[in-house]
Amino acid sequence: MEDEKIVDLYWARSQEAIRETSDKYASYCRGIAFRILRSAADSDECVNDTYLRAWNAMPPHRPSVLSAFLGKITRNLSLDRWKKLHAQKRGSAQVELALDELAECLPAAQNTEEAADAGALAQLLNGFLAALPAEKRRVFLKRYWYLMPAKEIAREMGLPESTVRSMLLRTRQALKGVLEQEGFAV
Amino acid sequence: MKSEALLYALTDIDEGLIAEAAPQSLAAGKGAPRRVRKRLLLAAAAALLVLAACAAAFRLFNIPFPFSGRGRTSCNAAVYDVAPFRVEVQLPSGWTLQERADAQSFNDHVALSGMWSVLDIVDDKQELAGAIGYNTYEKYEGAEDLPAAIYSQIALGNDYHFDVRDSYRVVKTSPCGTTALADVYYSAVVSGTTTEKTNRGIVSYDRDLSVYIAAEFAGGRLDEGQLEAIAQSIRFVAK
Repeated sequence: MEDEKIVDLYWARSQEAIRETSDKYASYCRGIAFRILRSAADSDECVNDTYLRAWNAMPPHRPSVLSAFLGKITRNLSLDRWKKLHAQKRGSAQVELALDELAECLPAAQNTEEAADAGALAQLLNGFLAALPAEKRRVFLKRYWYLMPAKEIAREMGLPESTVRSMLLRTRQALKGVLEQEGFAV
Repeated sequence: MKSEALLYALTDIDEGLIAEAAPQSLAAGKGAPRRVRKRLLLAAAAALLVLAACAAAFRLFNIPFPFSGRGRTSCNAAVYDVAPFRVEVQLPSGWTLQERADAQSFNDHVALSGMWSVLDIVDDKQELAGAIGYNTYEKYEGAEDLPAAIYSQIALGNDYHFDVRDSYRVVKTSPCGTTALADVYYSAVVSGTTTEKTNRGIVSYDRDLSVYIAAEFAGGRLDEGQLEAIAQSIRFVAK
């Protein structure tokens, strides 16, 4: 079913919306959750919670890209769950690796959480990513939005792993420059 | 944790960019492994059961209050002079709203007495299913959130009242107020029959606007799940 029709089902408060969403996007959402949580049970719970959040959000929301809208919800829920599990020493090493890599973008004395609200940071990231060449942008987002390992990105994009790694390094450095320039750094 | 903020902020980037970078392995509709698919379908079925209470399709209404000057007198001018506001509420598909022409008598099966700018809620067979209206309230120090103080105009009558004590059940709370379900009591004297009667009601207040709304539904017209769904959908919007 086309996304627009699925969204219409949500707006009509039809429970078919959940079934159609599950048919089309369960795998996508579960993939996002699983990369963060590395647990089938935890991922399933996040995916089910995603449906409920989507049901509560539509109406009034009408997403422009349904997959990404659902993915965002799943990602947020999964990161929140990861945080909780992390405190109990469970969860995915992939998140920790991504966090370590992203930390390179931020100068040591900077506390991003205090310096900027998430909205301003997301806006800056939008501008930064839109200006990147398409290939670099895809590589960056596959790594830090979808949390794919570099090896998997390389395989999927038909690039040597070393190229992916250096691409990521250069993009992180460029992002660091933008963050400093925009006052997110000391 | 610094980089955690960055990881979270990434979640909110443009949806177009997210879709563009989606891994091939997660392509939409590709289908999860059979075991996972089965679990997901079971989970989805469970979710559907939860949602079954909301099975009837709903339509969102955006009601401006005061709806018009009808019913305004020198005695209630202060109520009609309230800063205009809107109430969003979902009602079953096919149901409509009609401004009440005249004050109803208690013999009508949905009186909604004590409220202003009352709109009748009419079902798809053009039968009166309920009514909704608004009123203002004064905040009393120490009793700002007490239902009996807020809804005193409709809660204190002997022969007709919203029971905001025993049957009062909160379904939604926001920083501005609370929405709850309550029975609407008619004594035998006013019910037009020889026995007492009970309808179902929804009450919701907004402390920023100092107003509340009440909706009354004829007994048996809606099940509790539908009532709760309607109550959950209520939202005050300052104009």
